[in-house]
Amino acid sequence: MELINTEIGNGVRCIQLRGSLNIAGVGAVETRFYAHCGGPQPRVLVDLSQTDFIASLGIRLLLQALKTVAARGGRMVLWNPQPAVAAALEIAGLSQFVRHGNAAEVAAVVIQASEKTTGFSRSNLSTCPHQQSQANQP
Amino acid sequence: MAAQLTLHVKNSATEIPVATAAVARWLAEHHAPPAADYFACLAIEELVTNCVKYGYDDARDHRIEIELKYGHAELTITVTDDGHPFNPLDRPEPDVNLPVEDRPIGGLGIHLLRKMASRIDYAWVNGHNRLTLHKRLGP
Repeated sequence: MELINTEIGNGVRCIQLRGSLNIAGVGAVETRFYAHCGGPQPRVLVDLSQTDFIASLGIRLLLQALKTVAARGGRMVLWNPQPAVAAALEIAGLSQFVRHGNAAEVAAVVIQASEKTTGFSRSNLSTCPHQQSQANQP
Repeated sequence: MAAQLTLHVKNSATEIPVATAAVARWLAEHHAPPAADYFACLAIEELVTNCVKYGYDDARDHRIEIELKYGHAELTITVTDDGHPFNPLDRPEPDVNLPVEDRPIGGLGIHLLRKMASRIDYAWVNGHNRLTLHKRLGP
């Protein structure tokens, strides 16, 4: 399991999780993952496009992070999960946090709540470097 | 005739990736669809983890048996252990509609399996838990 963290502008972090969110995968990334979900009003886009498997420990990781981010007044979305992972997230009741689309559109959802007060502009956002090919898709 | 694979693992978390890798190889050899691989790995991950965490009070090694049958568009997985009697089907299903702030963290493993399986049977047989999961594959 690999974790790649990228700042994409306007305080939005893109955390890509590559591999399997099973017992070994969660153990390999959980400390760093939670660290990237900290700070005041965290805005986090969790890129699940390269996550090929998720077990309950992986869902637990995401659920705990969603709780932490919500408690800090931030926002987190689960971006572009593969179909099998999306199905597991739906069963776990997390489909409301799943978004598909390009990085700028999904990042806009992440910061929508604070858009009025921060003067957010989509043009301030870069794409995740590891997602540029997908971000350019319609 | 259904193909069959039987594995024995110790009650240790380090055994889980070894078992899932062996099952993935076996299913690939039998040209099983990706849904079979996902379900089998999920079942082993969840059930063996539960057994390792909650099944035993002592520090001794115990043997968990995992039996798979694949054929006729169905995958059957039977996990047998000598841990405390535990029927996961007796557990209440978690309320996944609660707001995220109020959601309990645990109980999702069995919930995932219940929703993904076509049928699950539990039996207490000769001092062993025996849980059998059936997964219909294809149309």
